[in-house]
Amino acid sequence: MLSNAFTKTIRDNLRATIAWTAGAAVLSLWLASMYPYIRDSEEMKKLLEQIPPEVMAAFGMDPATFLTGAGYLSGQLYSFIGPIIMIGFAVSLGAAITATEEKNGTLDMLLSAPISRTHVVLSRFAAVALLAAFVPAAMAVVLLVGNGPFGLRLSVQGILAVNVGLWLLGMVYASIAAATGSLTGQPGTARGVALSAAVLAWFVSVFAPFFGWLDLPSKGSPFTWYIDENPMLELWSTGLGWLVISSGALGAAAVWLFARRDIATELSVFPETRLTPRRSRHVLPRSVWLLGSVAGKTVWDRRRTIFMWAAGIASPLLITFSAWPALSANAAAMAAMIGAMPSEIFAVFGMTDPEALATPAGFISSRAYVNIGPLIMIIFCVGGVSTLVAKEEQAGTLDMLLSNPMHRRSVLGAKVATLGGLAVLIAAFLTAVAFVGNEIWDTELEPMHIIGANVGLMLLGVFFGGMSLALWSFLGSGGAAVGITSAVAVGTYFLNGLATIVDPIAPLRILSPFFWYLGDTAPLAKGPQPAYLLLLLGGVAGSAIAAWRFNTRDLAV
Amino acid sequence: MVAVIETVGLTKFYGDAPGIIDLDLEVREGEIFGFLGPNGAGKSTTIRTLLNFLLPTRGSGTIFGLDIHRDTVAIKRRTGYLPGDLSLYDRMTAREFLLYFANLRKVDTRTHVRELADRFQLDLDRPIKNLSTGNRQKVGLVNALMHEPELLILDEPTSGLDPLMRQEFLDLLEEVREEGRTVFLSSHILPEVERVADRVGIVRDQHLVTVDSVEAFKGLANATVTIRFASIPDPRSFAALESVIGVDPRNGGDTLVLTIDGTIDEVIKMAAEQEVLSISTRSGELEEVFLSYYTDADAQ
Ligand SMILES: Nc1ncnc2c1ncn2[C@@H]1O[C@H](COP(=O)(O)OP(=O)(O)O)[C@@H](O)[C@H]1O
Ligand SMILES: [Mg+2]
Repeated sequence: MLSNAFTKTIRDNLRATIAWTAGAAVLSLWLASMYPYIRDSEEMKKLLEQIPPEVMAAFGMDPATFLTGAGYLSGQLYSFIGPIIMIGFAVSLGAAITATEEKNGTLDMLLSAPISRTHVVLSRFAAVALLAAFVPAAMAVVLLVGNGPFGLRLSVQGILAVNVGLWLLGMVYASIAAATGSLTGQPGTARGVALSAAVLAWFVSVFAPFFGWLDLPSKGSPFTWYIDENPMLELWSTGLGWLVISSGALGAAAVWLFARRDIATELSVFPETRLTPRRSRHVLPRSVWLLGSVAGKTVWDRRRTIFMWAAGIASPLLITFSAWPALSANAAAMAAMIGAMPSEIFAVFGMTDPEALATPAGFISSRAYVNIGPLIMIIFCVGGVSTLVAKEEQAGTLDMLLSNPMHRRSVLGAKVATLGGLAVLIAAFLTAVAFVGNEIWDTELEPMHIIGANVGLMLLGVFFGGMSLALWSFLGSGGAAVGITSAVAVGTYFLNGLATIVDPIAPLRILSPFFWYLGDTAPLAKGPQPAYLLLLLGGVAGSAIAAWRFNTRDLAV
Repeated sequence: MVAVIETVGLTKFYGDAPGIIDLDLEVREGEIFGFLGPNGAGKSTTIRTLLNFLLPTRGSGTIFGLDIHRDTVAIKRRTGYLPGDLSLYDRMTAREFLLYFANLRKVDTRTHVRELADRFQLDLDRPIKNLSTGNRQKVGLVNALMHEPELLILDEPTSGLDPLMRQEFLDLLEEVREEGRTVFLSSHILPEVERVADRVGIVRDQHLVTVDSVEAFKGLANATVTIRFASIPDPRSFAALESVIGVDPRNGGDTLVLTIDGTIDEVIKMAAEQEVLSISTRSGELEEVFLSYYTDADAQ
């Protein structure tokens, strides 16, 4: 039976669901409407037949089908950005099954009602499954409607299959978040574990063609189950079955774990380690030297997670470096083919110079600096802004903080400057990693180019961080600021790529921050660019607007 | 006397919703000022406006003669604040939290923190998220007190404290007053305001209804003590006491109903000289005075 816990969950998440669903629908519509321009490019058709399948695969494209509607959408929408939207949404829902409320303290209230814990988890799980389905459902509707007008020639079954697959993929990670949340009671941990698992699985699946030893692990990756046999063409594959089984098993784990522990006490999870008797008084505070200032506290908050962020971008970078030798075996043939290609085809990946793809700079950029790198850097900066200031205002600790004799703008300034400093730190670390990778795998990148790419990557994050800061200062809502910033980031990412193919939007390309960052050359194939200044200016302007606005408005009303 | 807090026509609207309207307030140096009112009356709005978290819709205010908006930093240097809706950094221990905030004030408060923690029996080394409501409140109180501010602004400070701690805290406020410092205390709990405050302002429906000394309010409402003795006492000896303003013998004279102005200490001591069968006090009349302000703005 559906209980109140079910309907309440639906109601609580309705606004978020509408936002995510609308985002996914608009993006699908936009990409689908671009299809006629791609299809009508004659040369592309010829050349696609000649590209090495491994290279295509790494880019989520199938050479045999890329120019069909199904191939185009699989590559553009369903292999990278679609899963990001789906998983991002599903993980936040999954963490909210128990952990979010447990942290807020409302779970006690809920469980004081005469319903079993199992019942609570199950009815919320059902609600989450329903809400998560809105995103692929909207995408399916867009494709069903756009199928004729945009000449996509998709089969109805194919549309259904790929969206069911996407939904199930999301549910796997929602279940991981739910199970982790059930175990730890920490929504942050739940989200972190689920998202890390997703990034890992994506890598395993994408790089399996380059590394023999990834073959076996890739068979256990949900991404392989989801996309390996193109669901738009293959329809109902066994992979989808595995997705069902694993999300079911993880969901059951969430129920089982939750029914067996104390609610909302730190002692519940690992009692033996936490129950060691306290050394009574005068335990030295941790990393006390950081607690001297607002800036220090900003670092203090991240003194552990900063390493995860750095590792999050460094590992794709290293993996890409190490993949280069395997790829370069084909380099000559590949270069010849790519050289004859129209430049449009890779523009959608943010590169208008396809020849560069046959070079280390192009290849490594395409993996680490074009999609996953910006993704992580932007999430770090935008997410940082959200937790630094927006969440603090929402939680009410900002009142406490500002009861100290400090100006609002210096508090904000210290926080933002420190966050920027941490972004610089991550970029510096990446630069070092790239220098090491460059040495080991003989990729012969110019030192200045390595530095330039990382500066650009960092400034891209700074730009969107500044933007979300300005939005927050006006909207007073961290969630809305993050949502709008993400939408703008995704929109301008595609704008940069598609504007090179689609004439009507070509003049708009210079408005995209991704164009300022990527331009027509891979980040690792150029040094620091004047256009990077625009990114910096944007970030600074956003922060300045926020500081001005923050100084002159009511707090937390 | 010097006004520490002074507001003139201070008004705050949240859009169309009134938070506090036309507040003319004066809090004097060295006093404990009780800001009393039911939930939603406008106490927190007033306090958050005084601290520049909210910008006044109109009107103005000064603290230490400094403008509440322009000079907020200088004001905060000399002020300790406890929010009504307390939230703290959950992942820190109380010690880390207090160290951080002391550092932001650039003062060394370690000795004071230790004293206050001992006094409130607060374990400084547990993560704040594991503390009970009362213990979190103590962290907030220590934070407000640790730098020995000239002015304390406390928004419902005793919420969550157990009776013993509440007592300890009220004692502390009296010590603060003895040192010549000022306390602005918002509360909806009458007895505690009655106990410590010198003057009381009553807010209701976003308006300040009245301000007067606690003594004056007590003049409006005198407590009665009913004592039943084993043998018949002499009513005149009670009537002679300074704090007794009326004696009413009942029940054949073995029971006295005494109307008290001031403390009942003398009465109790005198009564204790004989065998007492029962004693009951009724201080509810003061409460009734306050309640009349709560429920009826015209009651004067
Ligand atoms: N953020 C807000 N938006 C709209 N109205 C508010 C807001 N905060 C408080 N109010 C209103 O202002 C009035 C005073 O609230 P408050 O100052 O919190 O009262 P108190 O602290 O005395 O309980 C109440 O009627 C309340 O509904
Ligand atoms: Mg209040």
